[in-house]
Amino acid sequence: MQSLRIRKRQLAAFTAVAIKGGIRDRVLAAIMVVGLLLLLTTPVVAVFSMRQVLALATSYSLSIISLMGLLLTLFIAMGLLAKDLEQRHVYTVCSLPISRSAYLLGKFIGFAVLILWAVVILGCFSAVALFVLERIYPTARGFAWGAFVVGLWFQYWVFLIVGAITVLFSTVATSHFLPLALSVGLYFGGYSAEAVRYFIRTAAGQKELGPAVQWFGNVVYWILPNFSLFDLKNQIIYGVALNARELLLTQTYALSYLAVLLVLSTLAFSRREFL
Amino acid sequence: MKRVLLLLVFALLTVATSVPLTKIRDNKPAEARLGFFPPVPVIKALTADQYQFVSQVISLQCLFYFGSLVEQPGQRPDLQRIYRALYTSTRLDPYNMDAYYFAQSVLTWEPGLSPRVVELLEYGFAHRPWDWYLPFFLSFDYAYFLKDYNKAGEYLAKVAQLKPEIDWYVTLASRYFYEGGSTALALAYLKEMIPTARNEAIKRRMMTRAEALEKILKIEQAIVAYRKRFRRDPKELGDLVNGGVLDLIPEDPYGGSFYLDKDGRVRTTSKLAHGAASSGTHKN
Repeated sequence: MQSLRIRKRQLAAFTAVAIKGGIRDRVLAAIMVVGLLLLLTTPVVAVFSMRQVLALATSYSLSIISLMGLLLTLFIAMGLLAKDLEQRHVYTVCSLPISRSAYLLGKFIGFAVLILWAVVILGCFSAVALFVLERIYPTARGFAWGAFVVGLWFQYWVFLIVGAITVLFSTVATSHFLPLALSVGLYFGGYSAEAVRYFIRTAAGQKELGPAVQWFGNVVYWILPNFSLFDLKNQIIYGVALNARELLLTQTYALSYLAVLLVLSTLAFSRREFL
Repeated sequence: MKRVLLLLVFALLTVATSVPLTKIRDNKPAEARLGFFPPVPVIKALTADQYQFVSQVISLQCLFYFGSLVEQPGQRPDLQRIYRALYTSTRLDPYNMDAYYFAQSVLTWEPGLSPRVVELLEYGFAHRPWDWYLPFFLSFDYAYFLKDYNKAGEYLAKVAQLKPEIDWYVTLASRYFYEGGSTALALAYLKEMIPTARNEAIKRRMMTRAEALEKILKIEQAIVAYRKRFRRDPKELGDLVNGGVLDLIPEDPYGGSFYLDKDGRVRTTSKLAHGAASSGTHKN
């Protein structure tokens, strides 16, 4: 049994490796640059709006952050484990007297730090554009800056969960394509699960769908991460009031869901046989 | 050298194909230009958390489509299709004010579409209860198009509550509801809308309509003066000129001609729409 101090050192070392790897990666830098350039076009897109320039600008900025964040998440999370497995780097690491859990968790923390930086940088760029637009096109209700920060925070948690899903699939997959495809599928599924459940509960859903399909839809809803909970765009764009209790529950849900994914990942990775 | 030559050949080929392709695309029917939108649940499932932006893109697409066709002679935008696109847009994002504003500015004046626009606006007001514009639109639509003055009054009270500064309109509109002066009501409504319109195509459309309504109001006022002076109704607009209550019959900015219908109301062969004058058959 390794001491806690050694484990902590290992964790920190793998975190540093993941961060350095992410910073050196040109693809990630390119995604960030594209994201920032797109954010610069916010005022150009926004002026097309007939009645809500600031709302269109906000919606556009948030879409860019979400899209670029997702791309970064998938690329970084894939590189954490799947690429290491495919390129057999992991074999060398696992032959040393180190904890596999520390390796996996350390890399995941590195990923979380990188994504946080990305969200903060993209968010700051977006905030500057929105701040300027708010001065030029003031609205009666003002811009919901508090909701903007909270919304970005929960967007960050979506990326963390998607990243953890990619890592989990990487621990059992033999190529990096499968975790990528499954993560993208679950990302879209996570945003649709709630709508599917609502449909099942309607009269039309009860009539049109058989009991087996209804049961399956409900099971999928409870298993998949419910990303609709993390979507605070209406609160940001239109200043719809935030619900403190709902936010607290969502944060707890996010933490526990992420913990489940990471524990499953470490379990699967610890038991994985390397030939 | 070979590479430069290849580059030139392919660049030329790209341009040579782009030009005819652009022409083909330009000649596509309206349906193809505005595009087809799948059902809302399908769009939501495919766009994950991007549906607010997609909703706004759809309403902007309607604006571009409308703006590109409305000023071209002989071209009339497919308003039913625009309505369906805006319906999709508002179901994707019920807070999307651009969609409601566009529906009100463009669709509500079309015969048969106003009840559907009212439904759309009521859906919007249920989600945007802070926004005075939606009850403002609804009060006007209920009074002017649907002649439901009770409902119009209800929404007018909400406007007064949400935007006390607009009391001049509320007072004026209430009086028109009482007197049934729909032309004057429409003019008051448009005078509030025109200064705040950001899109040029929509602004010009409103200004043309306001100009036409001003002329109709002038004729209506001349009819009242004619009745006072001669104690009978004019049979045609020429009677107003001959009776000395109107200098000359105004020109319809939509290209049609004003006339009196069998109930004595002022009408125009253009039906207050560009391109409709040629189909008008009335002679006055």
